[in-house]
Amino acid sequence: MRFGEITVVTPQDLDAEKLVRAICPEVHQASSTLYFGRRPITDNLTLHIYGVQVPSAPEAHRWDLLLPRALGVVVAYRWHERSSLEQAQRLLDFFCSGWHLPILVAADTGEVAPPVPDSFYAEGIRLSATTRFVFFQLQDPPSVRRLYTTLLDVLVDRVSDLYS
Amino acid sequence: MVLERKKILLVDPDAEAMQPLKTLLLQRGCRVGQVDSGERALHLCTRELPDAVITGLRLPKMSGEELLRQLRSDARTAGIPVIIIAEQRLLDDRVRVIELCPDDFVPKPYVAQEVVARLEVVLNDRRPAPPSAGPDDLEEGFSGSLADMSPVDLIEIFHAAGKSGTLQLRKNGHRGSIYLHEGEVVDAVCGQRQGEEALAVLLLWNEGTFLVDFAPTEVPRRVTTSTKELLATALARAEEWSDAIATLPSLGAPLRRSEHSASVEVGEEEGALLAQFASPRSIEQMVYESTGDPLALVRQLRTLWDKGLLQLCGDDIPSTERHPLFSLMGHSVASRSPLAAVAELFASGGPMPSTTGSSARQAWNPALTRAELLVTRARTA
Repeated sequence: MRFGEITVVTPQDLDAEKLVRAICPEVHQASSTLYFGRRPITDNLTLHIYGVQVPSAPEAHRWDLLLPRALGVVVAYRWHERSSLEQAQRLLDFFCSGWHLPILVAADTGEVAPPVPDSFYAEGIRLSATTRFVFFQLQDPPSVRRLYTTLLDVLVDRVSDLYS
Repeated sequence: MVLERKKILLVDPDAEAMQPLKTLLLQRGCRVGQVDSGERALHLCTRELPDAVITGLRLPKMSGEELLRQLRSDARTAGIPVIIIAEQRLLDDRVRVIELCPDDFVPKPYVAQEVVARLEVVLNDRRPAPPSAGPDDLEEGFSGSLADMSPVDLIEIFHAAGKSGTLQLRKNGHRGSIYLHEGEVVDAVCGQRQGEEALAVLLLWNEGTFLVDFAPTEVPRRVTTSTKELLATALARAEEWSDAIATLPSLGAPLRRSEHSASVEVGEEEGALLAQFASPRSIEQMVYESTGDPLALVRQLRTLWDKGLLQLCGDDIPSTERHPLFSLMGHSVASRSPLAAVAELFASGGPMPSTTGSSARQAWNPALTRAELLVTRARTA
């Protein structure tokens, strides 16, 4: 059996479980802040999603347990909340200083439509070779699922680049 | 979105077999044409200039191989991406695919979603063809997944076609190269290993990626065993290897000496091996960094593992699951407490990743191959 793992990280004010549940039929809650979901892909391949809602400083957690096998990380936050952005910024600084992981930064615009047309960020706005930015709406499961496909696009690009 | 309104030409005499793929492409907004021969496909390509062609190799009137050559040799059609669907079990098909160097290939049996995912990537990546593109340019290089074509498959192809060149292999951040001259393996390199010692490791890689470069190499011959013999031995060793690792945890998972090992008397050789696990190391790392026979080494490690002298880092985790964390998660289906243990462990704080410089950052080693990522993407959308 082969496993692919994606870690989804949110600040305290954004529900990590919903992000996991959007693509995983089966979600286990490990604690108030850690969720785990499985999505079977083929008979021999399963995607594992770890959802982490970070209530405190990122360094308070054993990321060395989650990240070494992670394909990539989604860092989600609430677009309209400054405190949420500040927490996401701390998470990004932390991940970028310690890991070479592909990262998708995802801004939840809540019930308000994203401020730019969908076509503008459909494939993710490229912040660097390994980091993209997208908008999404947590209440809209298709837009949440698109976070994963966008991250997987980044991963395919990265794997293709290994020989370039 | 990439596929919307794209003209895709399917070429296969078996229309029924192509139907699921055709249906999926139509659902994704493509305009799909379908023909049953290479000759008709070529005619249609010249007239309609489709955005991509998906073809089998064994076609009536004009083979898929000839179709690709003709497309590449005509400036009007040279830039059309071509995906070949080939029978992976047939050596002849594999040789033809490698030599043709299509934009991508899908081994049979295939799932339509995977083909569509690969098509999306090909269309995204497509750059204009160089104006001088000709038959010789087809041999610039071909890459793929070792899960689709193993190093043994690839060497077989070189051997059957009498080709010279280099096979570059990559697996979980480790690299290796195999050099061939007129179909014979002449040298190999993998970490500290060279020649047949390197081959002993590389021929066991069944995941990761490869790149074929047909440019002639000037390396001196260090491998003295004939390629025919190497291939015959490799198949037997691959089976022995599968048996040896069957009860071990994931080869990439970090292991360390168990606490139990301090109270057990072991022989000198086992003790020396055990000492290397004073700090966490994976089996894969051990194999890559050592110079002895990898099969013998793995058998020794299995003995240590079976005796309980090694354990996965962080916990006394059952070896039934490959990932340490998932071991606990999976176990939690029956009992909630291990899941809570994971949460407790995760929240316990731990070593900060170094921030002293970019070179100290943890490297990214994708656990899945490109093909697996494409399938995952297709089935997640």
